[in-house]
Amino acid sequence: MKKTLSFLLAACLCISFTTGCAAVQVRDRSYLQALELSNPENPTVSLHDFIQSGEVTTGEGASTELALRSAAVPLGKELFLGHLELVAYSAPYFTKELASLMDTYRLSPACKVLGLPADTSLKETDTSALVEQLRKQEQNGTLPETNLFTVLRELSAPAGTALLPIPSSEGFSLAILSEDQALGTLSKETALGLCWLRGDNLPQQVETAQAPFSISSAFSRLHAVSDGDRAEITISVYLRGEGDFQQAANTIESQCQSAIEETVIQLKSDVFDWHACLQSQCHRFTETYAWEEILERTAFRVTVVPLDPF
Amino acid sequence: MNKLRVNQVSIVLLLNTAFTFICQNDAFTVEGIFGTLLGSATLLLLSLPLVWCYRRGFSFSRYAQQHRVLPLLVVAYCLIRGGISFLRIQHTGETLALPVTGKLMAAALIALVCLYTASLGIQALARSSTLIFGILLFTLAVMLIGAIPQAAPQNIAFSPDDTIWKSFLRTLSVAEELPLLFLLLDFVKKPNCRIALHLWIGKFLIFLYIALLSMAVLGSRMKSAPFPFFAATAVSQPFSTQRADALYFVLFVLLSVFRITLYTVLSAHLLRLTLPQLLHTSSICLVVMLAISWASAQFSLSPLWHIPILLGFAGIVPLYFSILQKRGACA
Repeated sequence: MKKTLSFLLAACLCISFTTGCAAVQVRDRSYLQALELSNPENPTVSLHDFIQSGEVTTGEGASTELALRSAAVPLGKELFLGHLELVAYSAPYFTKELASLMDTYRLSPACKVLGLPADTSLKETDTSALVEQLRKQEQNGTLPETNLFTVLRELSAPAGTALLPIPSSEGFSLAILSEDQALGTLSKETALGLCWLRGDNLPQQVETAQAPFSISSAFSRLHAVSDGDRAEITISVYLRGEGDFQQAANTIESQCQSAIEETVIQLKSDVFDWHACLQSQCHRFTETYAWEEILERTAFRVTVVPLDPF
Repeated sequence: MNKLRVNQVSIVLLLNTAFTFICQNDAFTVEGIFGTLLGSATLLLLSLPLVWCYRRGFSFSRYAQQHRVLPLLVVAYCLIRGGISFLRIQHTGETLALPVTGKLMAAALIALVCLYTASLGIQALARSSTLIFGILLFTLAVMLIGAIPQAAPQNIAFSPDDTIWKSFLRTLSVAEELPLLFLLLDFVKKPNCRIALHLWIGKFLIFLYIALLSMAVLGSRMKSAPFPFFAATAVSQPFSTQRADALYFVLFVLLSVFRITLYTVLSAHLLRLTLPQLLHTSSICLVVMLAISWASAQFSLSPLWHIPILLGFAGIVPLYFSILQKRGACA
């Protein structure tokens, strides 16, 4: 009995292994680096690979999925989006498509998402260089880190808004989108402030009126307290470095206040997880009031604290 | 009969638990953690009468050789759980987009592997459990390394949709380990409470670990993730140049095969004792499980049906057997 079973198992495994000969080979796949979505009425995709600097193929269809299928035809290969580094679009309509693109094509959560100004196309753009420029600006701490996962996570939050980089004359700036519309663009001061508020990538120095403050260690924390029908969120930035600490603290506070003013007060969004902080630390307050009331009843405070050298 | 060590039984049951957690499609919540803690404590207490029964010399195998009704009911329970496991494997595999072209082919291949593994006996299964447990721990460690950069502690918050009571009931409704413990204690030379302690404390710790990491990483994205464990692992990549998804798929497949094999071994063992003239019991059990999985795909049943069975195993069965023991029926 055991011998028969062993034989059957070995036979099945052999059959399974030999079917690999008919599987897709590496040369039969086109590994794509960037995807640009346009034309919501008749979704059009423009694809870039890792080799050529411009667009390699384009396709359109009744849906994004059909457009991708038609884009594969000129290439004569199966499309592989698992290594995609950039998704770009100008129409806010495509924000809704991001979740299904990630699930269906197994996009990397670290894939960058770029908003494009209206009537802009990346057809002739070297998207690999574009992604490197974006990453460099994030590394410098002048633009907060964003990717596909942070966008989807922010969209799932009660505010339903997400932060997206957009190309500008000075590199990249920021915009806030909801699922169906663009809410507004942000200033450079706000972008710097969001780096501190989000705490994922901080600058290595702070420009002040006098000499720059060189940062050796820094991190930020959010803390929420509620008192009856009001709540206060304190953003504490812990800082250690060389230079005039007070000037650096004033600059950081100003940048953070600008970020809070533009993103929370004016655009009524949540792009630095302040609602999650409130929900975690003042759960009853978030259960009692709806999102719009929470916006009105929550105050923000920024403090910059020197880090003990020991 | 093959004898197992106490640690082996604990590990076998912990692997069964881990499968339940990784295939869970309810969101992980803080309430879930407390509910699981309460559920594990309750199940620990419910396990004690079973251990006590066996320590007093009771043997379900001896009982099965002399009686038919109850052992066949237990066999039916194992077959149903095995069938439901097949279904769960299929649903999870579909969402994960595993490269399987036909459901029937996939189920048949899994069944064939399980058939071969079951033919080696419970001791081989128990020995392999140590290796699979090592792979589980390694996978959880990789998950932690990948999750740390993405984790945000403020994402760990109470949920507006879940309650401690709901999660307590959920814990009880998926606690198949209690009936399995009842059956596996029969293979242990000197059963003691350590098995129950290891099992329920280990179950809670594994859940706590997975739940905390998943909540910290996914945040508000948890509610739209069909399988939160796999959603968390998809974004918890430890290396920027190489994804670790394959490791989680390997773990999923290993735990799937292990679980089905366990149910096959136990149900085949009881069938052989109850109906000694029946041949090819493992094959029969697997075919029945496949049929049950097909049937249960046609309709849905509340998972709460498991709770009365659990209470039956924990309460009525030990009471019944201790009465029998006093009468000298199966000592």
